[in-house]
Amino acid sequence: MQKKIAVLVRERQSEALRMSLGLILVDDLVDVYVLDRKLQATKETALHVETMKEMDMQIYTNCGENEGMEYLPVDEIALRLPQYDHILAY
Amino acid sequence: MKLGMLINTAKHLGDVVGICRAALARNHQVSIFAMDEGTRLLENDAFVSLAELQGVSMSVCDHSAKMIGVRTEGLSPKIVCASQLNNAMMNHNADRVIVL
Amino acid sequence: MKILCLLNDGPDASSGAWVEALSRNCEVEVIDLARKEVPYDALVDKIFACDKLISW
Repeated sequence: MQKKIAVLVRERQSEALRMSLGLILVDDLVDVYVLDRKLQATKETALHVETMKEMDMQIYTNCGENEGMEYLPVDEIALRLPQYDHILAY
Repeated sequence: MKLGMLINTAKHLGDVVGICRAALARNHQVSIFAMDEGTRLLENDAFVSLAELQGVSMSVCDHSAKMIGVRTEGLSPKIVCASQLNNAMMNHNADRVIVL
Repeated sequence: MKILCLLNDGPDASSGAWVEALSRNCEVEVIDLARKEVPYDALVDKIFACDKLISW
């Protein structure tokens, strides 16, 4: 049965994004939440985000500075998180 | 029940060992995946010895180990040097996943 | 819905706000691992007794 996994990206953003991409390898549903800060503009993070979009993964953020992600306020994210099987804060 | 342990830091060795052993004592199965800074624990005997325990499976992100500069040569054959696929499998199969 | 929040390094700048937000819709228990206040066997029981686990 497919599992639903939320990855909460906080610190070490590039590794968190790399892990998120790896988690889809067994066809689980993986959503990514970039929390509380702007995603660092590095070659790695840009590549990971681009790959996620190609894989139709959803990327949400509560930080309005993050472009190209769906903004959700804290309360909305808090409402969504319990719907996942695993919530992995990185 | 199955407990997944995602180890991405090297800061919580005591908790990793304590929780793993407590879970085994409760007859749970434990799957450990180390990546990122967590691969530094491969240099710690208390950590790697968990792989020898009945009911524990341990795998490591080889890419992380190489990036961090942790040697994986000479590890117990029970520690699988692998990829993020192993983390995906752990998450897929685990009832709970703790990140440390 | 019971959520167990484990604070691996104790409370940080954002953990309080997230716990508060989660608490509006769920029963949230917070355990500060840094304080070593819960024995590991009891912690394992809590991990499997909760509906969702978040290591913060």
